[in-house]
Amino acid sequence: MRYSIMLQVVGIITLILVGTAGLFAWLQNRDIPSTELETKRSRNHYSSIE
Amino acid sequence: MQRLLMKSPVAIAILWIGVYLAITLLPLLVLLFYAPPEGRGFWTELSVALGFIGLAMMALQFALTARINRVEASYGVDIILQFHRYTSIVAFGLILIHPIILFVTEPETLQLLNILEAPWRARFAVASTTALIILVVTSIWRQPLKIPYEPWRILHGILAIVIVAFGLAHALGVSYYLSLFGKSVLWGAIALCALLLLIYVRIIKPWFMTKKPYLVEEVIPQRGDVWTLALRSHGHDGMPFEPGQFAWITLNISPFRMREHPFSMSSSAVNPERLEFSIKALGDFTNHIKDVKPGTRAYLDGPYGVFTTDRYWDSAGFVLIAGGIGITPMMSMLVTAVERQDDRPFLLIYASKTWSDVTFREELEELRPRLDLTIVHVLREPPEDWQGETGYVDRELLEKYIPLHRGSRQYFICAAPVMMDAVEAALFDLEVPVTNVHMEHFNLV
Repeated sequence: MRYSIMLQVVGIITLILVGTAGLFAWLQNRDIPSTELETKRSRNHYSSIE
Repeated sequence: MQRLLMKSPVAIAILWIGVYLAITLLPLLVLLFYAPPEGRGFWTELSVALGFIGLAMMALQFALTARINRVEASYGVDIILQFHRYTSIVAFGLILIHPIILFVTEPETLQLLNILEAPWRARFAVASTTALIILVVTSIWRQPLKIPYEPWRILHGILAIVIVAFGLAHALGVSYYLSLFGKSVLWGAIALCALLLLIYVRIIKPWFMTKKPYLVEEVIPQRGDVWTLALRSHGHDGMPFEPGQFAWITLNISPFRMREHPFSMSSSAVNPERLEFSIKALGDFTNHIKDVKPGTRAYLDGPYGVFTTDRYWDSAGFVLIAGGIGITPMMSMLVTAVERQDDRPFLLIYASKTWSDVTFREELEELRPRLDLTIVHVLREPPEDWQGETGYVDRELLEKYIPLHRGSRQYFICAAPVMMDAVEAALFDLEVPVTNVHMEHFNLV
């Protein structure tokens, strides 16, 4: 019983992890307005110089 | 924390799962603060995300198996180890899917499998994945493959380090994301934590163990091919424990050699300076317990486990269900109850193969007049004149003996896995609350 409950818990954790991976992939590929992207890129650029 | 656990085990479970998810997903969440790379496509990003999650899960396995008391105290080592097994399989799946997505969506990446010509980042990935496959196969099929426990444990540790170190080297080599400052700091911290845990388990903990040695006082033969190993603390006050808990024993060698074995204490928790472990001769280590000489040096790592009556001080009584050598923690609970003059009722349902095999048969009879104790022996192969219960501990037998007010007792089960599963299901059928049932697997590894 305890192990079957845990199997369900691990199943839910797996779904959350895979779901988040999918969401991450979608977020990284979505169309972002070019001005926002430029702002982010320049911020990254300056933080990497620092 | 312990009070909250008693009142709301689900809340604590959700808290730990939240912590686990947060650590596993943190590497991905950090990336969202940076601008996304251009033109890599959904499938490549998904593959990368699964790789990062798989690597974080593998790094977290070091924390799950480091026997950290705070984590372990919530649910017990057997639950933590089972979680470790299930999540390892999930991590294994994610890590395998991670390159397969690339091979399907970008077939030219198949060339990276040619380790003679592939760049170092790909070689690290192949080495890490190969180590992971060996680790999973040798862990799931250790017994069919006839791999002895001690060499397997050493191999398991080495492979785990190889997997995480090479996995991290692969991620650093790809460097698409890890070149980002925040990301490299995060992965550096994760790698450092895994390394510190390793140092703690392999060096610091064994060093503390050497400061508290024990000497074997005697080895007492018991019924059922069981030997009781009695240890006396040497130069210290012993190890305080709660009845039903267990410890890892290192016998006659340095604790730094990591050849330790888990056993439940069978003696009273009132006397922590003399600890007894009743061990059945079942394997390469346990077969030699009978030959251990008095005066042999021993070291203990413990106590561990939540399988103890001490956590339920306000329970109206206890139902103990033991099969074979599963009697060991129950014996500790009963002798401790006698010495503490516990006036609550104890029901012991004890399954054995034959009457002559019943470990602690005489000792249990001696406890009976000193405690409100009912003993129900269940024999699989009873003698001809046997008047008691026979066969298996099933629903009918349990219904006959357990109290009508099911929730008024705490139920402890320690037996072989098949019996534990059957008894647990039967108790569930009999409407015993799930939170009142506690189990201990005596074959942890």
